[in-house]
Amino acid sequence: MATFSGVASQFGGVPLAFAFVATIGSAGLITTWLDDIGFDLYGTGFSLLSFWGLVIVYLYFQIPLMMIMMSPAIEGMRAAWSEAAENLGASRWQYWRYVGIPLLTPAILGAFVLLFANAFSAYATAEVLTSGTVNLVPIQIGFFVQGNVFAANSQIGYALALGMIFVVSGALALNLWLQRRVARWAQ
Amino acid sequence: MRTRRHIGLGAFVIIVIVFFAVPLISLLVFSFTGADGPTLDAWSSIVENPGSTPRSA
Repeated sequence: MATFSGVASQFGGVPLAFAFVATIGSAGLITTWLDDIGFDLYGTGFSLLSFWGLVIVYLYFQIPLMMIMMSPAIEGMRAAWSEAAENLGASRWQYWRYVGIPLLTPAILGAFVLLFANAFSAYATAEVLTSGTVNLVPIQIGFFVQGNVFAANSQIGYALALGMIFVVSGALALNLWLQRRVARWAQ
Repeated sequence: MRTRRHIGLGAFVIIVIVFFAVPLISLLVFSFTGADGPTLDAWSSIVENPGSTPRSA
């Protein structure tokens, strides 16, 4: 599972976009199959080239990344804690509700922050899928870098890039703070 | 005895596997499929002219 997560979390960019076009694009494998059994996927208003299409594609590398980041925290949970809870009369659900999830919360939030930073800066997948129709910040920066604007407007690209660095730095700082909270009970 | 929870967990695992496997299967299928059905044209073209792309052609 760890090996698969490692590979899948790196499977992004143009190949991933192409894989999803081949799967749930307008002539994709699943789209055609659903059409054959009488369900028009694109008739529901869904489009791979929209925001929600991007969300599905991003999940392909974000879920494995989440698994990689969460596995040390889950492995760090000691069997003694669940045994102690059981001895005190807690059910499995109560153990997770009052012990497991509260202990994992900083790790979960820290992972969410890193996933946000990862998705925030992803460029190639979104660019290939939407051709710039979804206004993500990296796509807008790419637009300026490619010189598709008047020279006078190029400073907007620099400002957006600097803004991204601020946002990602803030996310990393938050993650560091959360990691310290995780380390407190992991010792 | 299989409980409803176990069946739910099994269904979830299958959905996850399908979600991750189907895009790869689609790539595989389409790379061996041409306008007239199954073909190796794409692969033989890559092997014969690895530097040739539609843009450079």
